[in-house]
Amino acid sequence: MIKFIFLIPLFFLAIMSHGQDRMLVEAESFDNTGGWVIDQQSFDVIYSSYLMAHGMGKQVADASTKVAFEKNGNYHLWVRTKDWAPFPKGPGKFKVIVDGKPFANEFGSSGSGEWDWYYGGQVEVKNQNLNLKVQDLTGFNGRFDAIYFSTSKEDTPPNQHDKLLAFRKDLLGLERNTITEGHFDLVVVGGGIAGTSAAISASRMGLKVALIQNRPVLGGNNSSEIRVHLMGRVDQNHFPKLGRIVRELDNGDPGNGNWDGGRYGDARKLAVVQAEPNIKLFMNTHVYQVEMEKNKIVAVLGRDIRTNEETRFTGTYFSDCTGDGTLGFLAGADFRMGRESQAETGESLASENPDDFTLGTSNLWASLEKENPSDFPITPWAIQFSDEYHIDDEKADWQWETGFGNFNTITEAEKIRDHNLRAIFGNWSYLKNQKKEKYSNHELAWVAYIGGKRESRRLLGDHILTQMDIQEGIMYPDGTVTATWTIDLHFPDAKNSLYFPGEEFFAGTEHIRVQPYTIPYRSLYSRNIDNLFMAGRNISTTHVAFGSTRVMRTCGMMGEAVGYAAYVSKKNSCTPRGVYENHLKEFMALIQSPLGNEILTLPPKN
Amino acid sequence: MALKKSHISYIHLILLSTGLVAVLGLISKPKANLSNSQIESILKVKTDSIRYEVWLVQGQTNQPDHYYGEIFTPVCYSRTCLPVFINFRWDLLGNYQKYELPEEKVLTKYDHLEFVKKEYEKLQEILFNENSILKNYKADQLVTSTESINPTGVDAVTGATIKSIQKEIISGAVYSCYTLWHIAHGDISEKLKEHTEMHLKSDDLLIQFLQSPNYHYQYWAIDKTLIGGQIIREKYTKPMLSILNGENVFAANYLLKKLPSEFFNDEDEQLRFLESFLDASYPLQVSILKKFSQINLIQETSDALVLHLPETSDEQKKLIFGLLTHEKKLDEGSQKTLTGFLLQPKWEADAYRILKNQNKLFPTIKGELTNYSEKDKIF
Repeated sequence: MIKFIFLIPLFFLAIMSHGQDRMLVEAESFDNTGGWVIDQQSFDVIYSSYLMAHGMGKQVADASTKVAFEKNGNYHLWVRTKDWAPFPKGPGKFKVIVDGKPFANEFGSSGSGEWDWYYGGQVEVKNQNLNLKVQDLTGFNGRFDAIYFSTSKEDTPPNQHDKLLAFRKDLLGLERNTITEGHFDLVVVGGGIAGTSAAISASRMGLKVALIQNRPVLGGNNSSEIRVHLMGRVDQNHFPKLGRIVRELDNGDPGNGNWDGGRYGDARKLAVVQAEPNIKLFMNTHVYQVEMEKNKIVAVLGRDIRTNEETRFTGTYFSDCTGDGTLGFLAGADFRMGRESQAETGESLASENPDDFTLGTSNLWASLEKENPSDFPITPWAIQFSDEYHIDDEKADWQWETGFGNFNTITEAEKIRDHNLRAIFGNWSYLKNQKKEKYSNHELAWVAYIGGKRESRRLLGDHILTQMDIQEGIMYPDGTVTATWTIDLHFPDAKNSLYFPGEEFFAGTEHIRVQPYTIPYRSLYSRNIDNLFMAGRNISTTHVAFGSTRVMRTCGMMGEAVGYAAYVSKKNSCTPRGVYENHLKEFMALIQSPLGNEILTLPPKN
Repeated sequence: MALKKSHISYIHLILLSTGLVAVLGLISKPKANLSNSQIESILKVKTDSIRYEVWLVQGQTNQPDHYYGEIFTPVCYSRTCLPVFINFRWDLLGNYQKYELPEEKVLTKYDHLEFVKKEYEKLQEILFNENSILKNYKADQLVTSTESINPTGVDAVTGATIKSIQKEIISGAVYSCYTLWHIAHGDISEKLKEHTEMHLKSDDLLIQFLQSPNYHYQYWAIDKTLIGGQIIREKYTKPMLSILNGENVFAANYLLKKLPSEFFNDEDEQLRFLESFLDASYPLQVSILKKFSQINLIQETSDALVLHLPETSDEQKKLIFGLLTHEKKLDEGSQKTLTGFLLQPKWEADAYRILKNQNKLFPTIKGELTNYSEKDKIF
């Protein structure tokens, strides 16, 4: 890794120095991001991270950077931004300041919800560099993707996302500077509970593992960034030794959306992973391209969400633990998204007709009561509430949820998050300004800017778990992970639907109880990509069955099982399917008792 | 009623109450500020376990204001009951508003500790929530076990309160919350509404309701005064339309949907409607623009919409440009505003189309349009 650290300054030089009369400065690569946060959640749509002023209504500190030019001259400046709440004009205003001089126009409040380049004006570069500063004006989620300089006013950069990707690659020199990591036995994409467990499990079986996570913390929905508690039981397992890794990662139950992020145990998860000598951990890396050889994944390409360095990972086996099924999708794996029909699956709980309905995404939040009263602004751009309809609560729980087929969980992830923010800030503004007797001393302590997704793609395996499998408790010969959670399919809360048809942000559910049942191993590998495992919410189930398998302790145990399967695959030089077809006994013996395996070597303490 | 298990008579309860410290004092009387001239007894409620009287309370102008009941109820579970004295106020449509305690009365939990301030406040929230989950439960479903091992009170039972209702009750007072909620939102609500309908409904009351911040009143009054797409009396029009400028966006949207489009073909009404648009919150503005598409816009409206264009979102711009398709008489200010959109790639085609459609182009505008055409922007 030392050699790559050495390369970083060269890389930045490349970013800043390409071309004689134009310069692309990525927002997330600013020297100092100040109080702005890096948001990569829309990477699969816009192929970039961006900076966002998530100050919960309080102005955040400026982001600043030095920009080096090859030539002095008069440059035109464009900012790529959007109005995230164009109702009619959003609050995400910010100013761009060059060498201490602000441009007259403000950005981020145009009334247009599409990402676009906005012309700022002209600047003179005198000493081949200038100081660029971006000043948030409201603390309400203003955002920018990049800033572009060109000596020609006609040189507006491309705005279409794929064309802009090529433009970025060219100007940032991404392909010329790609880092190649060594070969791994197992490349795990996604560092949520499932991915982290898969990596640990495989590592403890002696495999060389790359764990790639696109955020600065591990844990996914259970991290301090999202704060959903772990559900599903590990004490009713048909194979009691599965679940031990999940228990190591479990930091106790602070409930959903606890104001104290420390209680979700980011540090614990990191420490458990760092103690594994066979895991190489790549944080802040978003995988967005794959290389294939026929039906096998050869390599994946990830980009650092801050520095934009690109890294190529080659591997024998891969595991899609992204939740969205991103890796499988890129590789051409069969998948489903939305609901199947009753006619297709024979499930009594299935929809009458197939559709795009998915469970939604939550952005949880919490407030705290303080000694002194505080104000919160009126938010005309947010969802509007009144005495008749508002949510009278000082914190969120799972019901704060947007999606439900109104918005696509993947392609409209930004819109979903923003809709959640409009619900949170609009409701909070109502409570603070209209219910002062109760809320005058409350202040928002935390609002998630990373959405906690429930449902996206489900990659299809050799077995698709169904409601009947669950309710009849069918014990397949490859039944491994024990699931205990109810069939818990959320839908828009009826009252919320009445007031916000098509724009619901509050959920209801009905828990259909189940007896502990097992998930077959055949639901944990792709049916058409020969070296692809999957663990987590994107495994092979119907929509109905997913309602039960999706909770995180269960997902973590899937990861554990995938780690063992990867070990058996490697040992026998076979595909994941080959484990089921020819080595099931060996695999199930590991599921029964991984510590009984003679090859297992325990890692050193540190 | 969920209290059927209890067959303890009123007198028994009185006797019981005198022996317990949980509830102090005797049967309450109306508060001192409810003088006889302001109240009128309208209803006596009597069941096997509860009796109370409800009064109509009038405001300072002798207009009906709300209903008031002095409740004395047992809170029962299994074989044990305790009396609770509490006064309720409902609005004129039977919606629970608030509770008060008679002088020297307190509320207690199973351990006989009096509610703390936050618990009194929470009780108000619980009772005020007309959609409480308590609505769906029977009394014997509230805890996981049914028998009391602690003889000190009705809220002391062996089992825990079931998880789904924990946020809807006060810990240690589950049966009190349950019983009081079901009184506040029980049959009495409908009876009070009926009383208002039968005995109090008048022009003055309906106007008062239309102008009220109470959304229950607004919806009820809209439904009583806007029938078959017609406002049944002229005098209702102004107070009704004021709802469009009110704080409750939901009632405004409801009214907008009910109002027939033709209503706004009247010039004065349309101008008033336009003012509502300019003051409205975003979702209401969008609804109003959609309503505009069903009516004949007068020129003042078109001009005002054009002038408003710079303040709008893309969604609103699309709607406004759509509304201007057949507009041929825009004034100079509007035409000038539209020329500004010739420089915006997203809107230049719309702006050009509308300008070209004008019967008369003002000289300065004509020049700008010619310059624009010469840039080979032909549509």
